[in-house]
Amino acid sequence: MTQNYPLYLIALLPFLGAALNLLFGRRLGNGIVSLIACGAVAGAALVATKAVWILGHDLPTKGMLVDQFFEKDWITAGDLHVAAGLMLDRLSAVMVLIVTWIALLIHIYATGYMEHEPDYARFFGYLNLFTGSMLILVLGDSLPVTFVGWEGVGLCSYLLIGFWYQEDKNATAGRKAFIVNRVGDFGFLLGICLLWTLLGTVKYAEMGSLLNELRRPFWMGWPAGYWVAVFLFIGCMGKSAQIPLYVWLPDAMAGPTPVSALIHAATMVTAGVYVVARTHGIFDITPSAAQMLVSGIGAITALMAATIGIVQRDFKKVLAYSTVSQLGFMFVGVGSGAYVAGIMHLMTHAFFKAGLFLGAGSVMHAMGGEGDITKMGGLGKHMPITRWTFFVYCLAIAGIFPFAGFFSKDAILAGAFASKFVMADTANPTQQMLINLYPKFLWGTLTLAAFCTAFYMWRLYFMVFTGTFRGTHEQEHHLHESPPEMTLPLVVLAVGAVLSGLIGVPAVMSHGLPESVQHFTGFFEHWLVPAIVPASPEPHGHALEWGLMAGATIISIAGIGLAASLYRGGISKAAENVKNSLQPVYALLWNKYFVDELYDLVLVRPLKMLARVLWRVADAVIVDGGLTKVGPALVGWFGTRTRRLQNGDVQRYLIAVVLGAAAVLFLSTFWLPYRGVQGSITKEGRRVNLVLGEGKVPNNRLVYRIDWDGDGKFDEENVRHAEKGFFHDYQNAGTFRIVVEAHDPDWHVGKSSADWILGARKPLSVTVE
Amino acid sequence: MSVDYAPTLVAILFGIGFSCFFMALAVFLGPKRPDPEKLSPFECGSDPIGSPRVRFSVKFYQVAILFLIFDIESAFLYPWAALYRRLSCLGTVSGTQCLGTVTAFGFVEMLVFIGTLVVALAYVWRKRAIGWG
Amino acid sequence: MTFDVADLQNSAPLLLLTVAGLVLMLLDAFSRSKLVGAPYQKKMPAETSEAYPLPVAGSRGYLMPVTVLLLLGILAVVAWLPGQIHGDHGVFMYRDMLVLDRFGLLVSGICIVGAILGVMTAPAFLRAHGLEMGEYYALVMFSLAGMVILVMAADLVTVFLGVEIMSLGVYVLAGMWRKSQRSAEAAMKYFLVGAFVSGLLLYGIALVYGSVGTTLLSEIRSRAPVFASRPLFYIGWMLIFVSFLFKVAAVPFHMWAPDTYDGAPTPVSGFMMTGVKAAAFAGLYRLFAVTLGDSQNALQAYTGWVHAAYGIAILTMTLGNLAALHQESIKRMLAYSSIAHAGYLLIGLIAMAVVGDSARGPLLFYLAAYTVTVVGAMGVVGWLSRDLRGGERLTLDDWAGMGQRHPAGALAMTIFLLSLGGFPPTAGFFGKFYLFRVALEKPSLLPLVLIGIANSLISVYYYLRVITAMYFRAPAPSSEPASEPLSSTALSVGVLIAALLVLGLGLMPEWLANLCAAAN
Repeated sequence: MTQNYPLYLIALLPFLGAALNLLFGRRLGNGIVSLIACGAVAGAALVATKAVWILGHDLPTKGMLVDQFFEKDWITAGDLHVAAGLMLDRLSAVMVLIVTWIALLIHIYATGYMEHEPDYARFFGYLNLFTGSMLILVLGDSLPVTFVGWEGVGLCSYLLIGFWYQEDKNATAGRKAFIVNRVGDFGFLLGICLLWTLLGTVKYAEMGSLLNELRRPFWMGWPAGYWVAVFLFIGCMGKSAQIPLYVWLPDAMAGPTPVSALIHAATMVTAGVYVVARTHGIFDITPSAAQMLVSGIGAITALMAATIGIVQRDFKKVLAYSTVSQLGFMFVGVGSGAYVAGIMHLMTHAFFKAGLFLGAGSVMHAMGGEGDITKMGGLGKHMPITRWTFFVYCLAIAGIFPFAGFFSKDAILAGAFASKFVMADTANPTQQMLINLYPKFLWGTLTLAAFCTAFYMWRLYFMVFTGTFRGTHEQEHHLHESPPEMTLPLVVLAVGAVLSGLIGVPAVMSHGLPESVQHFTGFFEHWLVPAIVPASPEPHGHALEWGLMAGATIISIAGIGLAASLYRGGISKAAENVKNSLQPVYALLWNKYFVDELYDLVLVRPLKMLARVLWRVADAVIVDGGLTKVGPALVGWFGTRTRRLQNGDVQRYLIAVVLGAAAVLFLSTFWLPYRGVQGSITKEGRRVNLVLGEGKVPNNRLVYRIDWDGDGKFDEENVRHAEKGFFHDYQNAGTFRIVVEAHDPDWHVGKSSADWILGARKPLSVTVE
Repeated sequence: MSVDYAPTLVAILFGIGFSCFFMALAVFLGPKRPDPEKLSPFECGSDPIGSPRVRFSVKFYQVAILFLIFDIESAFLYPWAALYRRLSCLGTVSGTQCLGTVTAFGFVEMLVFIGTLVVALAYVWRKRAIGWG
Repeated sequence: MTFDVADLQNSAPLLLLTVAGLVLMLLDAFSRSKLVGAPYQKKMPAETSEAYPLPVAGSRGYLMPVTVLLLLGILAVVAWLPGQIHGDHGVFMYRDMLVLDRFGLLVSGICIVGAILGVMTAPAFLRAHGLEMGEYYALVMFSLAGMVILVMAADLVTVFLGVEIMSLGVYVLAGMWRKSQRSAEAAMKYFLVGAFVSGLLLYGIALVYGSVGTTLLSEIRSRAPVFASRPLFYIGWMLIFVSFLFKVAAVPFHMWAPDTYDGAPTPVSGFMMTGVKAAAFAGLYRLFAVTLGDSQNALQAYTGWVHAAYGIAILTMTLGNLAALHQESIKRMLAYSSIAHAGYLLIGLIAMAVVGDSARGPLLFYLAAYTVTVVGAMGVVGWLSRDLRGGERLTLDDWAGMGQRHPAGALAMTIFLLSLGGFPPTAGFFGKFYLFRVALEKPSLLPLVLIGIANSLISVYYYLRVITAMYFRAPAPSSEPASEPLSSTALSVGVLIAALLVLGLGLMPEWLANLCAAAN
């Protein structure tokens, strides 16, 4: 089942490259720097390919290659141990191949793109560092190891977005990315902690058999697994740019274009999808609230980002929103149980989106750094290779048969359509109906998003490559095709964008073909199912499946057709008319639904203001002002007299100490009766048992009065607290409100269950039949 | 339980009330007929020369503090001397007689204490904290 | 009157620290009397506008290596002593006034390691600012002795003794920068509020003694279930609680902290933020988590202190972090951050009472990680912010471009800041990780953990601001002479060791984690 293999080499080579380039790069010259950087990644790619070969050939489907690099335990906490190690199974194999080979192509591309960059070595050092971290992320055999890689790629992303830090905007964008990601990271960390506490292991291989533990109710009535899933998913939302944490990704385009292609399109941002698939056992737990959350967020993100993409003018911004949208597609895939579809879309997307970004880089290279597509046009004849490869990518992302995007997107749509969500038994008919409609909602949203995708991609294509040039003469003069080290990756990726879908052809299409061909066209599914992930839900009946495919294709073609009619040969009058007649919608989309402004208003500004206020209040007002007015005679008099040495503050510090001490005493004594009126109710026929104090109140400590029927008169008075609780036998059926008052005779403090100050719980009431 | 503290509360209230009462009494009953002479400092007919606050040399405080420290520490010798027999005796003491083995514990203990004091004395001496130069 | 000679061996760290302090005092007194630098210069250099006199190695230069060697020796004794403890319980000494156990030894070790690193980074700073005084070393020793008494205390009287001995040394240290008004202010404020709080502590002890009739902690623990509901007993404990919260700078007893940490000489601030805080947390542990809060004991239910601590932890984390957001001075920012960290540590203390003994390891690990990190960070602050004209240059603008001007110092600072922010792979990450993980064992602590995490997020912002300034901003063009980093081997080595410890604990936390978990 498992076999040892030096997997560490895969990650080590890029790290070595990074170390060499960062430490000595300046002295080595660009040629050697690129040789080291590309060589390291190429080496990693070769080792990875060899490892995957062994995995596919020599081992059974559930087999894996393992490599423990910390033989002894890496993290110890109590009786829990994690030995840090790497693991290659069939899921991580897919990721490793994508990461290494696409990284290699982008490294090669970057040697051309960045050739005039003075900080050449630093750039490649970071890029190698990123590759290494990403490999740790996908190869980690447990969540903490993955988390180390997760943080590493976040750091590299931050460093590379702010690579041209001389411009303030870029450094700010880097910081935004980092901080938004930290929000997610802490969710992720909390998920790991919780999982560790609940299961006692965080190793992927050991988790599967223990998942039953996660079905226990944990907090607020939800099963523990739900909380773990939510926390992990918060991490994934940050890294994979889903609502509400997607805001950093469009800004991240401030980095160099190869970075956008590698980190913010093909690899890092897909880490969230990978983690959800990796830990799918947790997300699969019923009731499927976690799955509904994941797929719902994915679908809404897909549509929202796609609509924003329609109106953007910056070449890379369009692609950035497209990435957010496509990641939404992937999350719908993994969230609705169609793991194979989600992972496959991850792979095909890596090809065509990396290609699109590199194409964008090629265009902007020719345009002298200009990114505004309204100033482009007719570039097709100047740069044929870029144009035709871009053409292929656009077909792929729009989902036209037989390009890669067709198969993976279709698989997600079919999976979403056919998915089934299970709710708790207590769901009432309305809830049940909504749950049954949920897959259709997902499917509808995605179809709409697919239409927008086709439209904005082809709008981009037509505006850039067809029509006449709209920029300056000087720019037109300089237009040229990019050098071979840039066009070669474009061509290779285009081939991938055409062919990579063919290993995941739906069974209904390959039906009747020779078996060897079927083996090839179903390769992706057989690779992962059932050893790694459960089979995807499938629509019932071939006709329905064909119908869905045809529908999706028609939608895509409609999108392309609309784009062609409005933008073919330049921005048409019709396009302007549409824009003007839909001005409010346009403004909404152009301003990205005002989400950044909303965040600024709701989060950033209040936080800053709170900080300022608290700082002022704590340091200035209370200390310098407030207390002076509270005790002017005392404090002011001493204050003026002793100002020189003590700044007049010390007396106020002392008052704060005294007030604080009083508050401590007050709070800590009031807590007991407060606890005393919280508890749980159980019924046995007409006997109602009330256990109060939640086990935190000792026997006989409190004195109670209890009104069992809510008539305002206390039925029991002066009863001492008992751990086993109180009971009451009701004479009649009905619903009764119970009022409990607890009183602490030592401190003369009390609390009634009728008036809640802090508690979010409802008043106690009981229904007896 | 807290009824036990009622006398304390009464005492506190009485204390506060008593002082407030007499202060108020002075304010209300005292005749107020100010004139320039009464408002001038000291009412002695001549203007004060300079501020009454004179800066003393810091040496003054230094010597005073040193005196206090060594004075208080030598005061420790009295209880020690009173207990010396018991400190030096393993066993019971009857009258002036030790019924067990006599040890040097009490003696050594005081040597350590005095030794520490000597170190401190050496320190202040070397730092020229004693003397007035 | 009997006396157990074994007590001498068991209390060796304490005795050795005291003797070492006395020896250092004598060495200082009998060194050549000429003091190099400018402690007796009449005018402040800033007023003369002349360049600060170049520091020359003083006649007391040898005191630092001597101190470090002495402390290393004592550390070795501390490391050897656990072998002398047999069984699970500690060894009581001096008629049950002190107790020797692994917990006390570990915290003593943490304080001593912090002091070693602090002493290594101090002399260059002291010399450059004209306060090279031999007393510094003796006072650090005496203060350490107080900390050791506090962490080994088994009786309320020794608790008080430890707190006072520890504090007295620190009062003087905080004010030793006599040329600086802010240092005088820092010492004065700390002393006045500290003296007041000592009064509260003593009053609390008196009330507890008055109600229970003993000051022995083990006795109090066994009698507490009967006494816990008595207001006198309870008020006494709350006063003790408040006085310790003051020592760890928890909100609302923190107000002295920003002024004091900011005004005191930087190496002293580092010592106060770490040693004093660690020892005070050990005291809180002994008094509250053990004496009052044993979860095996039915008493736990009576202890409202947990609820008070719950609120105070939230307040401390939140206020500390929010106030730090707005600081322009790096030193003051670290002062507020130190307040916030007291809040995280309180989570550990609460977990001790609510979750049980398994929280001890995380609490201790956090203390150790925090100590190493902060001592290192303050070392770098002292190192890089020296102004040629006197004072310190501490604003973010002053530190802009430090990454180019002083790569080594900036890198070390980055490591420390990342550790404070809780990033892997640093010691700070595992500190938070262990702490939050153990707190998660009880759902009732989940809100606390969530707030802690939200606060860590906020803190990332201001830690990152410093890193951004150092690496991503060009130095502000100014006519003033730039700060001139100190150049000192001991300082560089001290910071290097701290940085290596931070990274080492981040990569291989398990040995210390095991040690902490076993420190009962």
